[in-house]
Amino acid sequence: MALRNLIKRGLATSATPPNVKAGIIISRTPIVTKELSKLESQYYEYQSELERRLMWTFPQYFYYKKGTLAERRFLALQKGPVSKQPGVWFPKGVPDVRHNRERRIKQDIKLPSEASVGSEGDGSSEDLSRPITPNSRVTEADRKGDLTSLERSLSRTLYLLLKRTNGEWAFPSFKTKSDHRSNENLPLHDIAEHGLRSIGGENINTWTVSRTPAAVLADSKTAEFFIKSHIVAGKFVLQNTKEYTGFAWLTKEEIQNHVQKPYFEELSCLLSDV
Amino acid sequence: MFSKPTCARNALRQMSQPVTISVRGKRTKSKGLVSPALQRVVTQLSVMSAGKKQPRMLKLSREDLIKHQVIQRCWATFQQESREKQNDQMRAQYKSAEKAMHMLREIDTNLYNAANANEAGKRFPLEIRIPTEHPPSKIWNYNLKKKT
Amino acid sequence: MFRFLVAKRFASGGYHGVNQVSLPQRPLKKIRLGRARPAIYHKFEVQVELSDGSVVTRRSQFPKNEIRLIQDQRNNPLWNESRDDLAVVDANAGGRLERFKEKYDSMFSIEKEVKGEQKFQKAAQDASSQKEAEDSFGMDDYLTLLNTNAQQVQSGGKLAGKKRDKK
Repeated sequence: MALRNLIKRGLATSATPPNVKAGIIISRTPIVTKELSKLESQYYEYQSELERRLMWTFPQYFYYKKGTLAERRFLALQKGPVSKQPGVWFPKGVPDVRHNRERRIKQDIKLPSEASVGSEGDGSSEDLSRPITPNSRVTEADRKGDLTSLERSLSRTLYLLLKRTNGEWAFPSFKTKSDHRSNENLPLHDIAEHGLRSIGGENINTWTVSRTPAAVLADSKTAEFFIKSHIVAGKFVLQNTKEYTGFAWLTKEEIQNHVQKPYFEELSCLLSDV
Repeated sequence: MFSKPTCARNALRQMSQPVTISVRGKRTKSKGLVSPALQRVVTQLSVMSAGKKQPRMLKLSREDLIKHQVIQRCWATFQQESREKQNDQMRAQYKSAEKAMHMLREIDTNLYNAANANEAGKRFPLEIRIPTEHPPSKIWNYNLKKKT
Repeated sequence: MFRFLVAKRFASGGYHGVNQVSLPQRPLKKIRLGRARPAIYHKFEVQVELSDGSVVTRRSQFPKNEIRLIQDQRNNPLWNESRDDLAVVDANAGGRLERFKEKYDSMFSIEKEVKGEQKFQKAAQDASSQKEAEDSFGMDDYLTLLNTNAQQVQSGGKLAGKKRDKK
């Protein structure tokens, strides 16, 4: 039995590919929340409207002290409910008012805007009481179609893909037994990170998720192990190498369009849909 | 019988006292009935209590009820589908990692041991941010300098 | 006996503000079976702008539409190790006090100088917080706890216990 195992192992080792490569799947995590599908947005709207209908009356006397300017500003904006009158026909149903609120429908409250009160703000970024104007979720890089920018597709996870000299796109991968450096004793994730810095410059901060490879692509000659990592800060700038001619930060769907089909199918489970 | 004289007397009285100006009189309610502390408690309790603040119950008609149930069922199905999809992906990820490790063990024991080492104490980077609804003014920190 | 105990408990100090107020007795309202309803307080949708300009929408009971955070995780040097362009905004800027000072600045020239110095010190602190953490002894020692590989102190000693004074 032991002999058979030995033979099997020996055979296995002889058949294993001699070339081990360390690949790195480096991602940029989403910066804004994901785009909601039609179903999701409609369901959330339905639920929030239901909740608004069931909310209690706003306890205005608790937040605005009686006789203050704030209370007066608040009250000036509110549209009071229609009260019940004897002998009057109400086309939208008989009103049921309690605490100055129509109990049959949701309470619609308008709040006085803070920005218009008091300060003569000039709207500059220095003025802390300026009204909030959110930045656009679509960036300049999206409009230009700049694939190399880290500021594109903010709601999606982006992955770094490199273009080889033969025109093929692939995740960056590096040989473990290179000639110029003693990579012999380094673990896979170190090789991957060193390799990334050798082709992408030193000014990049990454965080490797685990030492364990997440996937392997093997054929008769090479076995390519993939390490997962995140870019935290910094920039990937392609150095002058003979191997690669270009790079891009792509979403999962774009990767599918760029790489070979078997390559994508093997690795698609590692890529995020969001 | 004697309605006329009283009428005349009333008219005469009105003539003699044409306008009465209401002057604030003595307080009839004692002011110290509700102490400020008690008033505060009452206010806070009434904020919390349902009292008169609850809106009416929702009374759905049969059609509306069916609509609501359809919506809820649709959402539950959607949730289940997305959950299954995610579970499948995680299972595939685990299998893929397992396969990689098995192969690594056969190829190179040193690399396998290094990849299998314990990673206790490893920390999540502080600089990775939770997604927000709208992006920050400066989206990405490009000018990072390598620490020497 | 019971009243005496209660009185003694109140006399022993601590917060007993609410206990002293006695509400008038009211008959409790009976909630029939299946009639209980959850408390859904009125909530407003608030846009919260974080210090770096990103915006989050959340719900709050407080009647306010917009909240701007001045200091949070996104401009704190602890959470932004690789950033050196963090703008520390004075929390009182743009407020009433600041406007008053702008208007009557000439009268408070001495105070302004002092404030300028403080600002300079603040900037210096941000730049060399790491160095200070090593140098200073007292409060800043907590910074080392947030560093990597910090070990929890396992002291078997006696923690501060309650001491009852003898009568």
